[in-house]
Amino acid sequence: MGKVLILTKRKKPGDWARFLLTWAAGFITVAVLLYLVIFIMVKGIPHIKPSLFAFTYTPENQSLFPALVTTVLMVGFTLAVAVPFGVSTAVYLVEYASRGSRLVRVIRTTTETLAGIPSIVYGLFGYIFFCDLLGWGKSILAGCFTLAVMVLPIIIRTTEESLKSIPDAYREGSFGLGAGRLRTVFRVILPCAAPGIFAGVILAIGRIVGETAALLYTIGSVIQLPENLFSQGRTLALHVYNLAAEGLYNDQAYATAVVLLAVVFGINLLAARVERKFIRAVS
Amino acid sequence: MKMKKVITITVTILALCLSAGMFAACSSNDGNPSVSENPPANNDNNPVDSPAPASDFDSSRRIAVFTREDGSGTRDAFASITGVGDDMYEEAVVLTATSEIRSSVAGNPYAIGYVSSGSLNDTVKALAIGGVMPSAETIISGRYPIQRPFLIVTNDEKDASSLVKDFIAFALSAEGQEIASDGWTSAGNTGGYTPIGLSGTLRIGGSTSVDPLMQRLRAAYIELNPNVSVEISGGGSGTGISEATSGVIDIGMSSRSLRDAEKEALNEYTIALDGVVVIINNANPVGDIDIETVKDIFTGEKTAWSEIND
Amino acid sequence: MRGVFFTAALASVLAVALICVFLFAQGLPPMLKIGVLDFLTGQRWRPTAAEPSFGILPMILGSVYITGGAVILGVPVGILTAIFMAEMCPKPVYRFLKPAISLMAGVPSVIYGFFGMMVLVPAIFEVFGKRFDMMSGNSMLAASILLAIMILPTVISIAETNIRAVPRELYEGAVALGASHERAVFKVMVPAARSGVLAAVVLGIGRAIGETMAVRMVAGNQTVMRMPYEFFSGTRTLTSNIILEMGYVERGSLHFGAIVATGAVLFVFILGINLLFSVLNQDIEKKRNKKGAG
Repeated sequence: MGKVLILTKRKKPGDWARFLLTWAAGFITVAVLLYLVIFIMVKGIPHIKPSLFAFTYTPENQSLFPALVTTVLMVGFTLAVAVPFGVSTAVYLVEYASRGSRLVRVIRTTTETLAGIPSIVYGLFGYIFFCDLLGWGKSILAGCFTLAVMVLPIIIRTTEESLKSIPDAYREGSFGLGAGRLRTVFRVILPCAAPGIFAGVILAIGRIVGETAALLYTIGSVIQLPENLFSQGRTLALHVYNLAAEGLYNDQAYATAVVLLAVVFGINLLAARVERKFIRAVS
Repeated sequence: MKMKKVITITVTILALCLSAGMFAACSSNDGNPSVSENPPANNDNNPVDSPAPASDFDSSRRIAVFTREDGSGTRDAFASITGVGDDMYEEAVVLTATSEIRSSVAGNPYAIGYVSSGSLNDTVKALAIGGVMPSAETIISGRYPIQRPFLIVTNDEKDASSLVKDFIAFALSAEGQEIASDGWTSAGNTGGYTPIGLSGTLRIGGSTSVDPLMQRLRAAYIELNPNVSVEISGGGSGTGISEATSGVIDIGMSSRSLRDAEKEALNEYTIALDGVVVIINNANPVGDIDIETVKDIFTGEKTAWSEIND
Repeated sequence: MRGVFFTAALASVLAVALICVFLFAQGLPPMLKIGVLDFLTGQRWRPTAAEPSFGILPMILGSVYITGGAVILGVPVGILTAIFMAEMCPKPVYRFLKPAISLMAGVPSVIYGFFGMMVLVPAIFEVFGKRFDMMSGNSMLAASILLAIMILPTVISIAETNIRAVPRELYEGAVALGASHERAVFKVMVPAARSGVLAAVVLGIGRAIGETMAVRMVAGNQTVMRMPYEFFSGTRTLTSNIILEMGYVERGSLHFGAIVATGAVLFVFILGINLLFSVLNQDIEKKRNKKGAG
């Protein structure tokens, strides 16, 4: 329908300017991304070898397998901490609290504050609080909690937006059929909001996988497979940074970067598929 | 309403200019391979392509000084030996990793920087200091002046542990020093090493400059002692020294000499010598420099390459 | 159950409180020891000198300039791309664009940093080096361009979501009244999503100020006082000041304290920006309500 309207209306010069502006912006965004990805691919792919995925890291063979395992662990534990808190907060803000109350304002302000805090400050805080004060030392656990605090606002914000976008008619309908508030939240609201929540989780995973500044001083840099939550470790991104830092293994750093990009890409694909399924399930 | 229109128009024009600018910048990146691709992209694996013809070198240009961050062991050693001290040139670009210094110098014809000899490769040109090139021989004899020890340090309690003793014995043995002389310089060894079948966990941490060497020592050591696991963490020389002092880790790594107060609390072992190499771009015709000139460059006294006499 | 949700909601408040407490508990005493004014307005940062001086004014200005540049360059492109994605682009293009933007958001900052170092910095040096007597391509301009790229996915995805959230009836009404498609989008849909677009900008600024790794790889990190027009020179930001030196300092030393204090200053900055934006946001809400009533 929109198309028909576009064809029938004649564009004025101002419209052409707007039209071109948006296309140019889209083009710039894509061009920058493509250039970046191709640059890394060209530098990294020739150096991807099976030995890069060996079980252990040795100085002769800069395997990324331990880092990959640590990354998966980090994502899992961080989300396990952050998602319940984040979604519950959003549910409280949208479904329970009276809109515009003082408490909601305080929570919203703090969430916004959290969102704006630079990741290095999280690193500094994690180092002082989790590593030092709680005595966890540089460890995966300390890294997880640091990151959980960091991604909390992303999850709260996106969940909140998607909860808000659900028409009140759904809620009224559910109440009208005799469902309580809790039942409405779990059976009607959350399933409808699932794609939005997943979008938030994807953003969060992206942040976790890519984070270096907050982890550099909270998780350490030990390169072996982690034995438990108190082990040090390094995620893939940290691994890229560390490999490149001493400048002995730049080729492997680029190869690892390609793998990291592939992981990010894979997560995105998977998430898109899950999201689509949810939309189908809801409608 | 009028106000709104004005704002809209201004914003539109502004955005148009900006996106046009961005676009131009992008396409100059994309379309001009001599700008973006060749010098930087090839410096790691394809050194043959990177140097521009020497005749292009414009010696009136400003010297681009690259330095490491405050507190780095490499900077510490470099500044104290060359006499730069606390007066590091304020305009000098500060980078935190050897590789960044190296690739920045490789990508900038007018650059100068300094790196650990273990990280040197042919993407950049090492300068002779007062006619002496850094090599194992000139470093041991002391003729190459800018050098530092790679230390491992332990506190008294840890030093008494048999596992720590055994690892240090290995690092200083003929086997350990053979590893150290591949890329760094061995300061001599204590003879052969025989494993005595220990088990346990060793925690080592500190200098990132020593880390590549330590990773290789670790691999060789656990091959001989399969029941020992060795964890190596980074953090820098300062962290290594303070954590070794407090006993959080068993062995600390330092790429700078210990200060007097630190010497009292720690036992130190030199596992290798490392030359700090002054590097310039391959396109730069300068090949030899004296240590006063190095100091003048890094304190900002001399700012153009034309002031440097080869 | 309400209590459970409520408790969870308090977690974020608690987190902010904890960050405040620990940052200031560890950062304020050293700041007082250095002298608050000396610390904030000092122009020299020489933490390891025999007579150390801890002045972070150059870093404060550096953060402001670089973030400002990134916003000027990145936000227009980001918002326009969001409009493009929400309203303008054909479906096949969208199907390609959407995952591309998610991928862009997932690219780790270290990779952006290396990209900036390997491509942007030499390119800037090649183009402007001779003309402006640059020392190297490591400059505020490089950092701003790189950050503009890095905040794009944040700005785009949030702004797009919010533009899409505007009720379709508004668009249809505008078109029915004779507006062209572009006019309806720019005059009705985007203004209706104003607060959401503003939120996207806030998040973008947050990301730009917070970025550490990539900035410190391309910004030069000199602790020299700069003017805004000196964007061909390098400078250090508050964030890179922390990451640059934290690895080496001894716990408990004045240097460490000064670094934590830098973090505290950064934090105060963020608080200020947040406050400004919530005031702005409220203003917009108020205006809209008034219009609705009139």
